[in-house]
Amino acid sequence: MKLKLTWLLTLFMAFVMQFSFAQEKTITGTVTTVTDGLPLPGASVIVKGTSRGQQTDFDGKFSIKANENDILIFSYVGFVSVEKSVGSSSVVNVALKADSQLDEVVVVAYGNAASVRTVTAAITTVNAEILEDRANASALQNLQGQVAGLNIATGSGQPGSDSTIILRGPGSINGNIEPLFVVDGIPVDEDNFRSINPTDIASFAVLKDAAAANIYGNRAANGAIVITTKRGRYNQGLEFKYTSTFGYNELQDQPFELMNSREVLNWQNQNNGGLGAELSASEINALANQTNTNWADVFFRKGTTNSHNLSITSGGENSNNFTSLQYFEQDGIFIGSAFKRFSVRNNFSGKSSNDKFNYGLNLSVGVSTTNEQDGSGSGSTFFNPFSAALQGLPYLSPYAADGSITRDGGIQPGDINAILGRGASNFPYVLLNSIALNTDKEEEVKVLASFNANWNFAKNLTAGIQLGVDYSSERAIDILHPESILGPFQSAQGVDAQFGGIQSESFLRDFRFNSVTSLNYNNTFGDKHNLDVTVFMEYLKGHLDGFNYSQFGLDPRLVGSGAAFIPGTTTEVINGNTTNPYIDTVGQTTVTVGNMSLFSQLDYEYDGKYGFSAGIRRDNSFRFIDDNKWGTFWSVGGRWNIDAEPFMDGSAFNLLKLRASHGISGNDRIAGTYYGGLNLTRNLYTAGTGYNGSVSTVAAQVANTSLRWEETTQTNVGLDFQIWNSKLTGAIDVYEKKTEDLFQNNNISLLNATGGTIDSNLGTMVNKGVELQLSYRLFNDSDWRISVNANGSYNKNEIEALPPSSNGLVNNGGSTALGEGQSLGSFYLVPYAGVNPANGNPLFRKLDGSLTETLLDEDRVFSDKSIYPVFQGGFGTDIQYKGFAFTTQWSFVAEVYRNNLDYASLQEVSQGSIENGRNRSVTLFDAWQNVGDITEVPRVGSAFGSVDYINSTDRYLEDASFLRLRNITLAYSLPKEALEKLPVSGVRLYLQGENLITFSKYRGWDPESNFRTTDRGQFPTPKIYTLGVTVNF
Amino acid sequence: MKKHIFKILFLFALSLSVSCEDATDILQEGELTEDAAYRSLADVQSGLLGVYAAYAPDGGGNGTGNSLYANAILGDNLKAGLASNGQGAQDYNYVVSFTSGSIPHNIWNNRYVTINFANRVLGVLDRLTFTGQELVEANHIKAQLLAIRALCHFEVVQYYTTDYSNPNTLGAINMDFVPETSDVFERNTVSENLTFIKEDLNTALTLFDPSNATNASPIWISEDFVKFLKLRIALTEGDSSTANITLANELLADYPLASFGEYIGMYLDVDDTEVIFKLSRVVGDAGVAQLFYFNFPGTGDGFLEMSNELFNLLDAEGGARRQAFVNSASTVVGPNDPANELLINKYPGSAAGQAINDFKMMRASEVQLIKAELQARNNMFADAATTIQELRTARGSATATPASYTNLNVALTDIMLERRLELCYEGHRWLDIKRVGPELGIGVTRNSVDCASFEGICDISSSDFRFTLAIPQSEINGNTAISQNPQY
Repeated sequence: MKLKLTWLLTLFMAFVMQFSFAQEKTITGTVTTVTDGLPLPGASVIVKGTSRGQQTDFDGKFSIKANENDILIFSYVGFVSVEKSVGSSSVVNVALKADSQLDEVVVVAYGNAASVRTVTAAITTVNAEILEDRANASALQNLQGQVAGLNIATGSGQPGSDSTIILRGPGSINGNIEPLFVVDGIPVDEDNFRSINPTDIASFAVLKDAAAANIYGNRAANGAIVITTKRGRYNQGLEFKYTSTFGYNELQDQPFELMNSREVLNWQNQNNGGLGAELSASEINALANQTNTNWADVFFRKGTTNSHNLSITSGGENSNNFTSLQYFEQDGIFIGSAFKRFSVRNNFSGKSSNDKFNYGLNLSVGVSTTNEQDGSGSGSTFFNPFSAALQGLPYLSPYAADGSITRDGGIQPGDINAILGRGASNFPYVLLNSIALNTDKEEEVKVLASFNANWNFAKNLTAGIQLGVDYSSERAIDILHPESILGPFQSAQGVDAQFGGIQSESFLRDFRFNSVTSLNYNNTFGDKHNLDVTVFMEYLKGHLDGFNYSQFGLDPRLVGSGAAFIPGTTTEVINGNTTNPYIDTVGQTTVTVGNMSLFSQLDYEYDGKYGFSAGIRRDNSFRFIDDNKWGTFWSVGGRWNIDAEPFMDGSAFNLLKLRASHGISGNDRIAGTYYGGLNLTRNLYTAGTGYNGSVSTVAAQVANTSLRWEETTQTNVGLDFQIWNSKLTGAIDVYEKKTEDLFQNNNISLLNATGGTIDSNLGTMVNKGVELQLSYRLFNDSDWRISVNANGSYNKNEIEALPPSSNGLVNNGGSTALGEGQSLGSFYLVPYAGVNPANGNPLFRKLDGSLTETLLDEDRVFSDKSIYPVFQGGFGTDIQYKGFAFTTQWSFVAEVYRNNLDYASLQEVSQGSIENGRNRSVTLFDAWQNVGDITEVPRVGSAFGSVDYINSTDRYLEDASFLRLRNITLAYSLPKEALEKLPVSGVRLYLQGENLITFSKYRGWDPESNFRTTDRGQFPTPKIYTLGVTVNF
Repeated sequence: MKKHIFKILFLFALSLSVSCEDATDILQEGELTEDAAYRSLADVQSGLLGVYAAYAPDGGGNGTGNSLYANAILGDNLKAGLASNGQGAQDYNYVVSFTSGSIPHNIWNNRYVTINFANRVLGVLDRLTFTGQELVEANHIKAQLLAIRALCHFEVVQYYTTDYSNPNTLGAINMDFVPETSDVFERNTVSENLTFIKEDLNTALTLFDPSNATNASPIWISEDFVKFLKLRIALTEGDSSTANITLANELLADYPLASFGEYIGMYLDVDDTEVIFKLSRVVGDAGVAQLFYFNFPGTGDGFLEMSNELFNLLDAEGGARRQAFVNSASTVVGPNDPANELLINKYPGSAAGQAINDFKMMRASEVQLIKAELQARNNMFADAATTIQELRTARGSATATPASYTNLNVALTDIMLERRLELCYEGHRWLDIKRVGPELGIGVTRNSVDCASFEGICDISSSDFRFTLAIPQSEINGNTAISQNPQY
């Protein structure tokens, strides 16, 4: 590490030498702001007519070589540029004045930028600089709690795992609910950010309303998130920035109070089941003294995170460049999970010297390797390691004879009795063994490439083209080792076959191409009328192909390579039969999707006070046929800059803008996924495995020829404001989003052989909400800068209409159902009414209010509790004192519910479950025992098991609201004086922590989830602490 | 401005030169339309194989299932196993549920999917023209399709009809075409169903090709399948005519009762002596043993076990059934001991896999039992007793059979006992109690230790409405014309 830095510094010296020869005179000075006289770091200083440029340092100081009579240009985003000629003095101090016309830049669609002042749409921009220190593998996780109305829900602690993103509530029942993601103009796979380097990102723009998102019409019914990566600047010097981080990850605090060895053995003894029932008091005592394992300590670990990031920017007269390299490595907190990424990015921009022609090429290549633990959420005892970590029995020792953690618990591969005995209580050993021996790995290569060019070929006319590719290939490999405990069971003949084990592998290639050509007309008439009209044509195509195989039977000496594969033709005589135990399976996929769109966007401004925008588009989807192919969508928006009115003169507002928009967007992703719902308009047959191992031909799909676009109509009214010289800034938005022609199953007779349903466009759902985003600069002087920010949103989702055939209720079994007048994801359960003091049986409330011991579907009621939150948001503080910066970022969700099967399993008391091989919560000591006992826990041996309670009752339906300290960072930038003798222009050290504190009533590992209904053995998100250093030179 | 027009035209020409149809008119690779799917007789044959594959009375697992599972869990032949996490508890306790995944849904849906597939292939046969030997073969295929369509309709009648003896009761929906998704249907009456079913069977009998190679194997539907089905239908509709006894004798002449060794071999799928029809289950198919086991028969793996009551009966008679049906790894602590681990061995695994066995659907012993019942109902009590004794002798049973039965009730009671033992876990018990129970005044009565294993209900009376399954909720939702059965 140290070696690397030295090498980089040497490289830097070489560049310094080269530049130095050409200079004549050194001009130094300080750039400050007019309003408060504070130094302005990061302002650019350019020698006019040359490519020589510099940026001011943290104290606003600069130093640049120039000739006398040269002109220096001082500029900074949001300030009026100033030109100064170089005189005889070698000191030039400049104060820049804030430019009210050029406020905060907002990125809108297709690379266009507008200012907060002129935009008519509801857009929230997050400058990614504030997220740069964070340690999450996926860039999106850093966004949680930053934007009002945006929820980034991460349901797994696997580094690099996908998050579920919801903007302004879930907008569809079965279709896609996530917003469109656009990186540098390319629409990208919203489910895959692990191979993208978060530190390359310059900003996130969250496009919320119809006016903003309509430009991406056919895919942006749920809004859009436009990500812009970093670029170089024209006329800037060569700059390096190197960041290195190192840190640890660990399990968050656990809310469970589990029985210890003594307690669980005594509990088994009292209830006459399990090992405890066979031991005497002294034997229990001896065993409890000897072993008391916390299996979570065995399965979870303290992992490490480290990363190296180098970026290089440079810019000349007509071109600039940004290059970055990153290596990122993070262990999961669960044994066997890890993530590594190497990424390279190059963003190049060029222009003609008359600025008429601009072009850019962005290229990013990311390679990642993920070691995973599958099985989270699974009820399969031997394949969910997370359940073993929670529920392993404490009297089982995790140690081998030599004192190390055991890899097999002394169980021989294929020993069915040892595996299944005592309610499969040895399952933690089986899982430890599987983790130690098996392979579960994904390797991904992701390439994002985009090219754009604009040519202002005639007065007021600009033609543009943009081509983009999102390519990813993934190789997933799973090896179940033949010498693992479960290995021998894997062939068709199980343990009787000579070879066990499975190797499954899949290769997938996903290629998405997008092109947009446009023609823009922009003109200003009579100084007061500005008109901007663009017509676009877009072409989009996605190709997914891949193949997979599963090989049964591996030679244990050769595991890991194809040489281990036992041929399918191998025969073995088993129980007198000649069999083929090793028949492999293979598969292949080729899928294509496509869209074509024609659209137009108009923006009109009058006198800087009134603005109007409108968009109209025609979208064609390959998913529909005939008249339904084309959808027509449109939006209108308007703004009134009230602060620009004469009557506002002298008010405290430096910005007060009222805006409103209304429009319709479409969604053609019927099945939710990008490559789903490919041919639902056609009657199809399939050939597959039929009777007696032969090939059969049967009906696979009954057509619905009337499928069409799902349409979302959104109305938004918002107010943007900045008060007291932007001391307080903020935005309020109120919206209503109505989705019609929802993709839903319509009920048809089972006689159609479709399972009783067919995909149709039926029903209506509404999301209504309010959003507030605020930031306030409390204090600002030469030493101290203190600001606070907060955002919050309220979203009420309601299903207004379901298919008429459903009579207002779609109950597909399980704990949630769809009901008219209910929120999407509402729990539909029988109320649990405690324990009958007379006999210890659980009681349930019937519809008429009476109590019963019988659990019936007909007693289910909507609970007004949903898996989607009603309130969410975040708040934070930013305190800077001289070189120190201290920031905190909190996030919260409220009114969100989840079924807690983990806790239910720890309270399992159903008949016959005592010896189920799993530990329990100490709360079972409160179980009903005698007539008259008043308790919450039914008697041991009562009728219903944990899954019954979860599926049918609200006993374990818990409030999963939480408030989490998402991030806390303490940073220190070395003062300029300290660096004077070093060949570096800035050094910054920081210490940051993710998810350090959580407040929640939820009785599970992690209250955060990706909006799932039930928690069972999930991978909790970790705490991460990292120490980082950034060096600029 | 003029020169710009050329530039603009050029740019638009450029953008339009990208053809758009390839993004808007996409047929995925591997889309198979009906015309492409069935072009030749071989394709039609593959359609028939799909119909066979669709029919899955033995399907299910982990506490769900179809008719095989239903007859076991709803009756008195099961208890919760050592490995139980509650699999089947709701069904065992007769909790009314007819949503997706429930027994009523599974049976109804499976039979009508099979009927739908059969009707599609029958439609193709009408559309395509065959001549000569191809026509003979096409007719043989058609016969099998009609027979399986009849079987499915009959089974719907069995499960969803309140009263078989009342010809005006609502039964199944007669389906001899592929419906439109917007169609709705009321059920036909039992008499309409039986007419429809018999017509299919009689037509089938005229179409079978006696020289077709499939006749040699009991995994294919043949004339004997149709004869057998006619016997089952006769029993259900209460047609006790002696012609049926003759039909039974015809079948028994071709399919003698298996010897002790053949019987054991039959359950290992190595002997077909008394098998008239069985559903072939090979590598890759679902394992029928997984209705009772997580993995395959063995200790600690069974979530459903044999009831103590059935075990006691088998243990008392000894012989081939005791040996074949009870897994040797079972643990018998004592009579009716709650700790008994009674592992079901009727599907012990085969060359195809550890949990995979053919489902022996139609066996000579059932013909023997049908014959006994027909004899009893014709007051031929001594003949009936002899018929039962023949079966017991073949099984090596120690149970004594009287020389003659004193009356019909005594005869039926003994035949019911024999049916319970011989046909356990083959999809009969619940239907037998439904059919004969009201005559004898018996419902389900379970051993108290067995029902305690589920904390469950021990008895239901023969008049309980739940003996007739509910029309599934999905059908009610999608078919506004249909009537639900009483009390649901």
